[in-house]
Amino acid sequence: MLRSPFALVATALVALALAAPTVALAGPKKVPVVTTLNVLAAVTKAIGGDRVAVTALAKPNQDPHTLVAKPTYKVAAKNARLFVELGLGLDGWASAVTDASGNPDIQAGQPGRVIASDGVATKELPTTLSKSWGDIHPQGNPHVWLDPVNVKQIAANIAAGLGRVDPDGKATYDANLKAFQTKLDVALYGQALLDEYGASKLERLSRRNELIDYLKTKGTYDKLGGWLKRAEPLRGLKIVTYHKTWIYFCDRFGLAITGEIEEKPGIPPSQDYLAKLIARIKAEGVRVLFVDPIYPSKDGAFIAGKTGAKVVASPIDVGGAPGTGDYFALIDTLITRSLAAAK
Amino acid sequence: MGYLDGLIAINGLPLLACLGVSGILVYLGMHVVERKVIFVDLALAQIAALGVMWAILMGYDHEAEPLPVTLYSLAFTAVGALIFSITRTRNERVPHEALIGIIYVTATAGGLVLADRFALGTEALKELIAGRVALVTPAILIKLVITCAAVGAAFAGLHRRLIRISRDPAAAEAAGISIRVWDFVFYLLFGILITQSVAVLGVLPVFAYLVIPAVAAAFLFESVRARLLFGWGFAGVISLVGLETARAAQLDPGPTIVCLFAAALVLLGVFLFLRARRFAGRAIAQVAGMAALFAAFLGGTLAFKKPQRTDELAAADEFARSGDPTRMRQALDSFRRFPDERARWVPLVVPMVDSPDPVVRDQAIGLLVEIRAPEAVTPLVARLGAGVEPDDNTRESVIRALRALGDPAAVPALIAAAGREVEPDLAVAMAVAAFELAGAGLDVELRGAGDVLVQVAGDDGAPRAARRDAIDALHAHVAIDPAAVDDAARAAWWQAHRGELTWSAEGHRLVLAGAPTAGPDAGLDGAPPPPSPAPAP
Amino acid sequence: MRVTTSSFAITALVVAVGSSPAAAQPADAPSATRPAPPTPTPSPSPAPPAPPVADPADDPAARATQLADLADAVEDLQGENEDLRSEVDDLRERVAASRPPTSPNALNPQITAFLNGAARFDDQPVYTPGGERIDDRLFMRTLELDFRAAVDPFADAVATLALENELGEGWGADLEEGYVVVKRLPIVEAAPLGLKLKLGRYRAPFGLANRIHMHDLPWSTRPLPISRFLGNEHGELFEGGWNPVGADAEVILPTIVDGAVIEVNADIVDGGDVAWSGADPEAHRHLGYLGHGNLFFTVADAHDVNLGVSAYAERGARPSRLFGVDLLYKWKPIAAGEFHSVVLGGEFMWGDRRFARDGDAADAPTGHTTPWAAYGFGQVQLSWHAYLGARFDIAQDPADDRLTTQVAAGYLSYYTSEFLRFRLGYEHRWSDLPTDDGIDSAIAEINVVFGAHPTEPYWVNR
Repeated sequence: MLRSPFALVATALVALALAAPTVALAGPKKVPVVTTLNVLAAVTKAIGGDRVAVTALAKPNQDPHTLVAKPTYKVAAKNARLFVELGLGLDGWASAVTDASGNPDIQAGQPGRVIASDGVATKELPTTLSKSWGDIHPQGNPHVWLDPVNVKQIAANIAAGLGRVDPDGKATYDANLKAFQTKLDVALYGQALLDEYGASKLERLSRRNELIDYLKTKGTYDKLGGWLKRAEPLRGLKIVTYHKTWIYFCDRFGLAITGEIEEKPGIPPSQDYLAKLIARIKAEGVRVLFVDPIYPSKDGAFIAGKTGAKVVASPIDVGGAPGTGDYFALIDTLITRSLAAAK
Repeated sequence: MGYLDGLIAINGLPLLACLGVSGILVYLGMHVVERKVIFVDLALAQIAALGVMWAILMGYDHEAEPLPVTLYSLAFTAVGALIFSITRTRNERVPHEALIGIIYVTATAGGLVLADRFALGTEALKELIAGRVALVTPAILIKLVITCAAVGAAFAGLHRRLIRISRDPAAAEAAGISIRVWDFVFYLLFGILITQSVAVLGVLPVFAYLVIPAVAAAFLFESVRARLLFGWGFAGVISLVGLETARAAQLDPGPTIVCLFAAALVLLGVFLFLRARRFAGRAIAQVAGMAALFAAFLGGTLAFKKPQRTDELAAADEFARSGDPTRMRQALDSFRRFPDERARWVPLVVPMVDSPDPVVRDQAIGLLVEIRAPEAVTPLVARLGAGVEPDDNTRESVIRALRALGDPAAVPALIAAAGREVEPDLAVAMAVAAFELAGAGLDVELRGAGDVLVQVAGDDGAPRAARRDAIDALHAHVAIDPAAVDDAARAAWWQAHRGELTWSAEGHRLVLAGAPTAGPDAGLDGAPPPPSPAPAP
Repeated sequence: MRVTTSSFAITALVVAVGSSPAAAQPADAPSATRPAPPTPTPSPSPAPPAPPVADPADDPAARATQLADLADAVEDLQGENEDLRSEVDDLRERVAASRPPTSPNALNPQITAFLNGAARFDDQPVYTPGGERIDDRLFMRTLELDFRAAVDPFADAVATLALENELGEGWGADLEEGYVVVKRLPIVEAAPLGLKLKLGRYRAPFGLANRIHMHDLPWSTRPLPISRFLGNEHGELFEGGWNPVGADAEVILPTIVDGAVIEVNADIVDGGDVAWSGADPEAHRHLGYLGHGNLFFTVADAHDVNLGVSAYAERGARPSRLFGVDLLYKWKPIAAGEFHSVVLGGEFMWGDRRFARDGDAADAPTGHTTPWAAYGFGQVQLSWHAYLGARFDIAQDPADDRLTTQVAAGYLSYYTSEFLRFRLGYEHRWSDLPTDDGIDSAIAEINVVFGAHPTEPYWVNR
């Protein structure tokens, strides 16, 4: 029987199939987690620590809206115990990956599937109460992770997911979650303000966008530190973005978005529209353009040339630019680059 | 038997009123149809209604003092009858109907003019026109029946003479009967009946009872007896069906009966038409065609229903019920744009306060506060229950909402929740809200609020701002000894004097029993201070 | 014509309605009491109209004409009634359509609709295998409705209904695909090797292009190997390919080299559904066995390479075998990847084929051929909107492997968005078959997608 080459190959494959799980058992029992975006992978690493082995499917400068899933993605998903997607229609290809993977634990609704944006209040809900599918993002703008306050909720969702698939590590995950959330609060508000008001109150004020006014009324504005303090010169800065990515970031740090380079979401601008946009930029005195590295730079450079505005290469994902190795570095880089362009 | 009981209970008396009145009205209707002066009774009925309005203007209450009102109405009707009999001209260059129409319109206009002169005038006029048959009492019924019987007896006695005049006035004139006098008698008796009936049934139903059964009978039969019997049966059936339909569909019974009369007449007409053509296929087709045309007309009017506002609300209604958080949020945004329709959407928004999604809860609370909906207080208070609301942000929204709505019923729940609250600043906010909303008689509970404030003020683990706010609130709402400046002193003072504190409504603070109510910020004349601006949470 | 008659009918009826109350009044004294009663009087007159009474004084001729007139009137009225009825039907439809949509059902399947039309202009007559002439014509090629939904925690279902243009005979509905994917086996806890079972009717995993639906192809026509060997009813311009009924098991082999994926499909299908079997009714009595192996790897994140081998075998009185190899290379940069890309690929098929010559009967003589076919293509993305591509096909005729046909084609595709595409193509065909030789064609295509729009197969740009 073994003389036939086909039989030989078949036996080899069967042996491999049986060996694979044993090989897996022999190594350290890290929980394999697959995420769609890199920022989700960064947060998962922070929560999971040494207990998890995280892979992000999308590359940092790949446009997550239009990403087409490769066969390698489904292999990674096949072996995962936890699958983290952002949701809100940004990574619709995630379902294709999980369907193709044949992994029953990470299907929709199963404990191994985390929708990271659960519980986050979205903005830019479409106003037409129409049941037609016309809108690209019917649940609101999906770029929620660019507001540090929302990342606390994302981290909580991921920690809950990890706790479901790895109950032994639940205590570790909860402790790491608390530490991560505190680190975020310190990075955003500064330790002094955190001691003054407590994390819960500051988060509530931030959610209602009342923080700055409240601090000024109470006379404790000088205690503000962290990113909010660093980004003080950016408050009120008028910017134009390439895509409707930045609403959360700008609402948090006070920038004013006055328009987009894209004619319609997902459609690059025509010459006609660019001309109108340039006129508007000049009229309103916009000096800063946010062009994400996932989009070509020529339109941004063209506008900058005509109007004298400065282009900020604004990475949207962890790893999208050198020096953005984790979430904190990402926001730091964004603020630094914005400040440089705003001078 | 349940249905019959319901029928008798609600529609028993009205049905008797209708039947009683229809008995005499159908007979009179026959006369009226024969005389071909259909409009007279409508005009007379309107004059009677005008008389009632005048009586009310003269100060009489038509419910409590029916006799003066009836007499006024009768007087007007008598005058009206006089006018009609005088104006029946032999030489008809101007048709009599024109004059009757003018009188009708004048009477209605007069009624409208009077309706503005006293409170609920339009209501009274509407009741006179549409009738209040549903509100018939046994007393009214008996009065009505007696009147009908009396007039009926009079008519029965004068029947022959009146019929002769009705059928052939010229011949009767020739036979020596004075048309004018007997006309006046006819109209007078008629007027008395109308006055009584209009008060109960209303102008339109009375006209309907008068004319429609008679017309239907006239289509079908020749002899007086046949017409009478058919008319009575027809009126009886329609009365019953009309009252029951109105009961089932929550409609005004008087106008419903009128509409059903008309519908029955149309059906009768169709039946007669078909019978005349021996139910030929073409005839049926014509009828079907007309029906279809009418249905198309009706459908067409519906098709052009203006879509905008109501459709968005209808979609928002559906979205609010869907249970999907995104849709519910969209529904809330939509409702916010229609504050006038709040009666329609507040019942949908109130349950959203308990939605599983925290963003929806928060926004629902915000919307209810914006429109100051008092219905929100109960679910909000429930939201403060032990372990009910896990999200800090939403708890804060609940506190703000209760403060904005200002209902003192929330105070005990606020204090209980403050005692359980983990977040110090929220506990302080709850206590402060309780103090602000409190009315009298909550002394014991408000001491609990003071407990919370003292506890937070002395809690080393609480954020500095929360502790500061607690101290400020204590000074604002509790007559604490100004000398107690540090935590220990405050706590000591509180322990010592807690039991003696009572709530002073004028000063809006807890004070020691017997102490002056004015707070430390009182003016020199001892006037109570203006309500202190409590620290906003 | 109909409109004017029915509007006349309506006017006539309205006039009749309006005037009938007047007619309804019983004849009375000149003291015309003309009440305008508040309640509507019934329109038909209460008194029956006098039927044509046979007056003995009339002469038969007058009566005859009277009857003839009546007969005409009856006919007219009947016609008017017909028109009225159809008007009312239209009105009813319009009313129904204008009602607000019913409430959304979140458990409905995702529905996507694809609409595809093509126009071709040729310098010679072009015939489909069925003998239909399709040159210089415009076609609405297909309306495809794609329904997808999760059935239960164990399986998903996909149904694709195609309404295809059947050339002169109108449109035919075809179940292009209808299958259930079992993702979780009821007995086994975890699917071994990521096993997925696909059961039903589906596009067979033979080679590269067969699995792609017509609206996703980078070209306006199917390559010759697909249409000739794998199945065509109407030629290259219309939807074709191999979509049998059967069962497919797909596994992902454990990774030996990091970044390289090996997938294997094993299928048992109803024999005879593939053109290779040669429309032999006997073939349906036997099962066919299909195997496909696929190797995928990425180099430097931007270069994807896909290699595949396929094999199909049929037993029975006329056993046949078909083999194929395919290669695909795609370059797409990571950053701004939506603006530039290059795709190169091709397939090569060969096999030995036994089929019934001259007719379908079981005792017809068996033909045996060993034809091969191949195609290669390249596509360059010029901008976000535009793609330029070229393709070359060569195929031997399955019935006679000495006859060869070749096609050279170029295409320019323009996407206004991922939902709307325009394409212009040029093809030159030369062949040993005289009817197929020396044809130059220009093809224009439009493709529309509306609905939920599921994600594409990974190598197709849009």
